Amino acid sequence: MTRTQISLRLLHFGRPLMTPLAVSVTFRVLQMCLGIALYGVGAWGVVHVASGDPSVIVPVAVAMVVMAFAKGLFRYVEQYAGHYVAFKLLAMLRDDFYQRIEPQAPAGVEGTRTGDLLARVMKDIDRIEVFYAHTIAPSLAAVIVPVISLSVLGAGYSPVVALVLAPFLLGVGVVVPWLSHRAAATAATDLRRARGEISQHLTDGVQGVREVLAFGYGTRRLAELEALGSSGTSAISRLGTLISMRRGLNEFLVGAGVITILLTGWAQGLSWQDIAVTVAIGLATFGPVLGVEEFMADLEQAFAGARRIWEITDRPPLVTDPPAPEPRPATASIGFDSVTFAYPGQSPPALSGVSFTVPAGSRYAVVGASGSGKSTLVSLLLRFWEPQSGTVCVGGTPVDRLGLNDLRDLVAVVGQRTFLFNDTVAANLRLARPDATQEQLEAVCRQAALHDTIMEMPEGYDTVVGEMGERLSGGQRQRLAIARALLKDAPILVLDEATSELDVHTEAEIQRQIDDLARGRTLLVIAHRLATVTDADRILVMDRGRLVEQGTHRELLARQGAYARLYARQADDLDRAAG
Amino acid sequence: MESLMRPIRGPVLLSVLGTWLQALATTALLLLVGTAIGQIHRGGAPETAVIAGLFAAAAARALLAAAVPAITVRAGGRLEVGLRDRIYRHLLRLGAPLRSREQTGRLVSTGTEAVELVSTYYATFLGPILASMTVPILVLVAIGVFVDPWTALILAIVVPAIPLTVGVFQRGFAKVSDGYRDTANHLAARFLDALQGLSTLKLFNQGTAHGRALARSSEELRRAIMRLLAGNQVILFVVDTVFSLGMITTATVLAMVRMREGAIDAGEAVALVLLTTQLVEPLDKVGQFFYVGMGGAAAAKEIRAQLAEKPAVADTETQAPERAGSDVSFEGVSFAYLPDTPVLREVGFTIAPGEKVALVGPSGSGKTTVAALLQRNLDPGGGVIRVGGHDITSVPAAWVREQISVVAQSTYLFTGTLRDNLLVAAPDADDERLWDALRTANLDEFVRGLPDGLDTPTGERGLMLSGGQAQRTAIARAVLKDSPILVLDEPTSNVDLESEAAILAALDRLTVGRTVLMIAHRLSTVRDADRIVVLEDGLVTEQGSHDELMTGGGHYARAVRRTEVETR
Ligand SMILES: Nc1ncnc2c1ncn2[C@@H]1O[C@H](COP(=O)(O)OP(=O)(O)OP(=O)(O)O)[C@@H](O)[C@H]1O
Ligand SMILES: Nc1ncnc2c1ncn2[C@@H]1O[C@H](COP(=O)(O)OP(=O)(O)OP(=O)(O)O)[C@@H](O)[C@H]1O
Ligand SMILES: [Mg+2]
Ligand SMILES: [Mg+2]
Repeated sequence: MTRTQISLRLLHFGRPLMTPLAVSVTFRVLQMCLGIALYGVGAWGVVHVASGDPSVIVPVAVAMVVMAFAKGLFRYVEQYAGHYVAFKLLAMLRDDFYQRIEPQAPAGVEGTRTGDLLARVMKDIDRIEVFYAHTIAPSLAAVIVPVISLSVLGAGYSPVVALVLAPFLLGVGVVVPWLSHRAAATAATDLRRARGEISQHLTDGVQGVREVLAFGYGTRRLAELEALGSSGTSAISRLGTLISMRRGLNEFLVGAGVITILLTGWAQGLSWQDIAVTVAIGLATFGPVLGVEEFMADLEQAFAGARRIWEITDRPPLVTDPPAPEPRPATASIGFDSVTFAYPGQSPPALSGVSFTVPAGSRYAVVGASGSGKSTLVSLLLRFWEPQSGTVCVGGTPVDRLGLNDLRDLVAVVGQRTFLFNDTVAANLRLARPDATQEQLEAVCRQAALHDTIMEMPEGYDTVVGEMGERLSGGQRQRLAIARALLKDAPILVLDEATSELDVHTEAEIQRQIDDLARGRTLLVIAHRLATVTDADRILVMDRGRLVEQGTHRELLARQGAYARLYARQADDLDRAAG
Repeated sequence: MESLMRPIRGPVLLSVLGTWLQALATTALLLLVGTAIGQIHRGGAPETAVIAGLFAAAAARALLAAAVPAITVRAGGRLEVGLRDRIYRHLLRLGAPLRSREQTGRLVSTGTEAVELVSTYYATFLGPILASMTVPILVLVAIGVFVDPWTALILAIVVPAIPLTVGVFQRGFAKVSDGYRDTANHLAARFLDALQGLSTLKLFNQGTAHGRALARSSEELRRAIMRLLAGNQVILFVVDTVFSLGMITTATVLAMVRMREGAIDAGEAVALVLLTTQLVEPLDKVGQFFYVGMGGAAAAKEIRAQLAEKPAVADTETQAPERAGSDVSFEGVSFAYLPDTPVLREVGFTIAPGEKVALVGPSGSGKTTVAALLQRNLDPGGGVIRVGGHDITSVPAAWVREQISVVAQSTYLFTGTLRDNLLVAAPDADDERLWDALRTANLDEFVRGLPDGLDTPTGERGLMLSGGQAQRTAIARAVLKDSPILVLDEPTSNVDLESEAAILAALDRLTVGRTVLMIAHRLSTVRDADRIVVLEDGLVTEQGSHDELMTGGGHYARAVRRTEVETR
């Protein structure tokens, strides 16, 4: 994307804020013109007094007081409007980022580098703010103010002086900034990238601090951080060199410009008074033009930041609502028909040719080795991913013809890796049903054998669980996730290793509650511990992405296949355990 | 404040000097312009010497203008790296308790954004602003010497107003900037939480609603800031007006009056007017650097607060013990996360070197807490924990952790490849060792089947692996660490029975001679332990071998019987 394209797109995005932006620009220009005029009037007053006209002292003083006052006022308006635009835009940009990334989840977000995403949504967007708040107004001012003051110089004093000044202004405002823009763009892109890497590294380093300590990984972690830091530093140094070069050139041009006005004025035979005024105006005119250099360095970062934002937000969501969604199915059966699916970049498919049906209201179990594709079945049922071939149906309707919200309303899941938000127990539960009453919360927690535990906590349901539920035990986290799914009260309930970290007593207790509750609902249980699945209506056995057997516990035992072998092993274990 | 800046004090002082010199060069340039105009006024041509001086001053200005950023920008980059290092080092000292107390997004924001703000502030802002606050004095001296002492004296009355107004300005904005930093950190924390939990939000159809809530809270904070700004910017208005009036107008009027009195000539009067640009410089800087200066000061406060935080687990400076045994003992250990809610009560058990002890008990009874105490992630409230005979509070924590390999209950894998994650435990292990460890964790076959093998990315937190694969990676990692004590917290909860059996058998072979503490719910995992310790509600209620415990009717025996009944 070129700089012009980026600018246009950013301007387009900022359209709702054109009015305050225009106010800010207008007042900036006015304020700067007044700044120049202040010197002009001052110089004018001095030369008049020098020409022997002391009567101007009072009017000049009065004019200057008024102008100074107006300048302050205009600056206030400029700043306030500018800040308004800036803060509003930051909020708009972040909101837009979230809204665009939300439909991409989970396929486009799960397992990706959220620390880097965080850097984008916080820091890169902060950079973009520079474009609106510190670029538009200054760059317009850098054009308008010199045009005005050159006109004044040309018309009121000497066209030749105006003409010789112009190249200096162009040099400062256009040539010097342009000289280095390519190198600056590369450095800015590198810098933004390094910042993102650092953010990712810190995120991992904080969330994995236990592992860092446990494995004596700290020193190496610090070394890695420093290496990432120095790639940032190298980009900063490059930017610094460019800034230094531009500043030097610019200041030289300013000095040379002033000297040139002076000498040209003299060569043109201007009166000393006119020379004084033209020098004062010329000198002051460089102010707004120098503004270009000031925003240049940051502007390149704004562009790089914008690219990094759009890199994410422009990705199309993997799944979208169908154009004309079918009505919500009346029944809650699940059907997989020759479903084949591979995760992107993975050559062996996670599922190949899987077909089965779970009739509404029945209780099915899925067993199989780790990595055989059990959790993937759930992801496809929820249409988190799109299968490469085959169809997944709910209530007879292919999931890609249902509205996404409808589909996900139909299914309650306790995932294998539960995620809890850094919020209270109650808030985590209410994710499933925002308007649930306290009684409803307590009811589901009783069913998940969690209520008593929560009541023992000093703040009960208002206990904050910490990031990812850090302040709970593993089993408590799982039970909270179960309670949350129960609260959703959906016709299909999926439990993916939902009780893997519970002791047998608690597990049995919850099992009993779920059995009660699941009557009339379609239940899909994924488990490694066979005890929890033996009484399922049917057991599906997965192996390396294929559905290798299915049947009731007895049928499968009779078949002497994979399931029977698995079961024999467990029974064997238990025999040994029982001594 | 001083200590954050210390590493770049040299460059900052240089930048002060550079800014002064630049101001002097500018003053010289403007005085010479005045001289030239004076010469024209007297009807002559500007002298060659004056013209040469003009160019020399212009060149000197340019060189100095280039030199200052060349020094400061680089110094800023250096400061950044150093600060970040200090912050992460400190986070490591704060250690595991950080996880349940702090929000990652906040800490990341301090380690990135705040660090950048502070570096820019100290490196590129502080020097020049300190310099430009004093530049007016230099300029006034120049005016006094070269133009007119009286004008300089009168203008000098205004000079103290500069630091004064800047001070008022700082105080006025400190609240906005502190508030802004706080907001930004809060927002960062919420965004990270939302991004990491986005799948869960989608699962409950709450993605959009959560987005609205985020937008709402950031909108509220925006409004609050705008209100504060509307008030505080009045200061800007006052300062601006006062300066323009005070400096420019006073100087101009003085120029006119003194010229009428004949004290100065026309050229000097013009120079005086031009020199006022130098006098109002500090004001321009203050306005320009509003974000940098105030944001930087607020960020510095934030970083200092972070660095001042005391670790909950104080490390000792003592030497690592020479010889270490691998026995473990808990003697009357009590612990509470929150006051008045004891989690462990007088827990006592020992593990002889090479012994394998299983810790079982209901969910929430404190098993993981025992493991955390052993690793010195937490400090016991009472009692003593010994490793190899040493009270672990009297030896360096790093030494204790070196003795122990852990498979944690909730697996944490780092963003990177399988290889990266394994090398965490043994940075210089060769591939052969990695494959051995994978074999022990029964993961070798899976990895061999991957097109990229060991270089397959695991995704953040291992999310691109299946639950069991991630867990087995953690087992392989612990195996690689090869420590005398092994702590396994539900190591196979997400692993199928077949792999579990294979893993346990492999671990058995591997752990001969090692001390093992195994926390598990699956009784199959526990059966071969030399001894079983039952923890219920923070109390050790039973301990003994499987057979001993089966004779009673305690938690363990009931659990075994229940499993039997269910399976038959
Ligand atoms: N996000 C992902 N990206 C790439 N590959 C993935 C992803 N998630 C899972 N896989 C791979 O797909 C395969 C099936 O994974 P899945 O999670 O369905 O297994 P599972 O049967 O649930 O295993 P477990 O019992 O260990 O949870 C595995 O080989 C896994 O590595
Ligand atoms: N960081 C924390 N802050 C406050 N309370 C905590 C924290 N971590 C754990 N707890 C509480 O301490 C108790 C013991 O937790 P612990 O994780 O040791 O249990 P556990 O025996 O490992 O349970 P599980 O089998 O479910 O993993 C629980 O009640 C838990 O809520
Ligand atoms: Mg799974
Ligand atoms: Mg635990």
